Amino acid sequence: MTPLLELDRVSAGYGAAPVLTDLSLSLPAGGAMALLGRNGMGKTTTVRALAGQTPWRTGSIRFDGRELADLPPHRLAPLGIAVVPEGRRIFPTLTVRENLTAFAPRRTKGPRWTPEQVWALFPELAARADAAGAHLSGGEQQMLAIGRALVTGPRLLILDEATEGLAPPLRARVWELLADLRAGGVGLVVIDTSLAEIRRLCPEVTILVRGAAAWRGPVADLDAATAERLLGLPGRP
Amino acid sequence: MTRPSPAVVAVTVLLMALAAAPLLAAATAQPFVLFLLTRLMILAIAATGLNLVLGIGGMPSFGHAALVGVGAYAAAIVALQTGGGAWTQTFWAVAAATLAAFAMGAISLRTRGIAFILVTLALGQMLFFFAAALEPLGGDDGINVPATFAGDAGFYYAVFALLAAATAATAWVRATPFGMALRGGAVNEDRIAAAGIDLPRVRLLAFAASGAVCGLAGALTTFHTAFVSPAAMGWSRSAELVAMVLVGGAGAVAGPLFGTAAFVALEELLSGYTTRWHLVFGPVLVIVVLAARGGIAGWIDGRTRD
Repeated sequence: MTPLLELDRVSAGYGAAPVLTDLSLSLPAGGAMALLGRNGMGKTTTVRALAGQTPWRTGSIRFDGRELADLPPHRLAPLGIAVVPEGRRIFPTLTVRENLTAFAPRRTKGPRWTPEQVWALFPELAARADAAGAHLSGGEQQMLAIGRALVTGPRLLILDEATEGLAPPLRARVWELLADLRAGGVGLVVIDTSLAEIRRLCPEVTILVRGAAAWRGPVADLDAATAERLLGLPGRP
Repeated sequence: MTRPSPAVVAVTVLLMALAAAPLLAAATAQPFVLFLLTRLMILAIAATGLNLVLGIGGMPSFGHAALVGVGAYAAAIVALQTGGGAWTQTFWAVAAATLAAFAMGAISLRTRGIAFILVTLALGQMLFFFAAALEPLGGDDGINVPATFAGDAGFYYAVFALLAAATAATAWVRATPFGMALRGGAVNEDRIAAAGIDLPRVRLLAFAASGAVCGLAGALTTFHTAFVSPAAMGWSRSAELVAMVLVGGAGAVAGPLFGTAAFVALEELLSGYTTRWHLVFGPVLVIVVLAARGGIAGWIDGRTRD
């Protein structure tokens, strides 16, 4: 069966500085993978490459068997690739409602969320539908960034620190949402610092060290010593 | 339904005042006022065209006066060469300016920031020098054009209706997916692409549409003054249009009308005292831009900072 996402020896970087070197990953349809690593190890560059924002120099990225190298960034969303970027990056001059409707897809292959479904998921956002993005709290912005990814109808959702800065109850709702999405067949690539939640959600883990996969395998095999050594995190919460 | 913002109320009041002005001018026997207001409204239409690109789309074009000029010259050429009527002149003015804007956009939109400003400025200056070189059309001096409208109230109301339509169209476009893509792209190009939107195409279309509106303003200028000259096409005129949009409130529906009204009012008031009225207008521009980033429209709405 064709993997949903496949990176084959991808190298990428900014200017002369290499960030990713020969990174290979594979995610089956409906799978969930955690991408871990300390700061500056290439996680966000990987996300940017997947979103078509950082061109990669060698190797290939295939989505559902299709090579992405030749596609401009705006052709990726219709394929079903959605990103919740680090730092939220919502549109400050657009209202909450506009942030969602501007992203409502023209055509997509994935299960598509309506703004109403996003309101139901995040009632806090519904209450602020006509507020400008700039006037939202950090948590509200994060909800909006997630909602904005959902309305594009993703088959693959990539989350870069999507729970960062959220209050614990909201954080729990986001993890619950991700579990539901996964049960619905949406593939997930998750970058997060909460190893406990990642253990529950993602069967597969890849740890990046200096732009290469230093460790990969089933999450059950990730022992505390390895986590401590590669991530500087205690392996068990 | 949300309550209309104070700026929307203010622009409605301003439009109603403009609609009532001919009655007032007739009662007070001040036909000059109508001439001035017609000029104001035509400038506001041009500024509305620029607002689509500059205010809504965040593309700081310094070549838009040249697009107005292309419309003005096209209308003049049709009138002089074929004796075509107002509709024919307007059609060719809009068509020529749209085409010029399309070309200007196709070249300039490959760049960003300062480079974009310089490329639009350079392309505008090219059109300016081209017009100045048109000897059969008077070259530098410009040329008189047969008057299509003899300064009648009908023309005033036609310009008024077009300004109202352009203002309403801005409100409409802002809320369409096209407008939201433009507004979002002004802040974050990557995220718009991530929504599956081909932003370069959206921007080029906006640039061409903006040119169409400016071409219309150009044709109206020719009707209004029965004269065309390259002087109206230079980069300093483009900068004045930019100033009108910024002072009025970039991106705001009412911005161009507020900005143009402020510009024309200051020009009229100050030029009575000194020919160097820009000395005063400059600081006013700086103060408005610093004090109220949303311009006059933002200030009326009580929004001084985003």
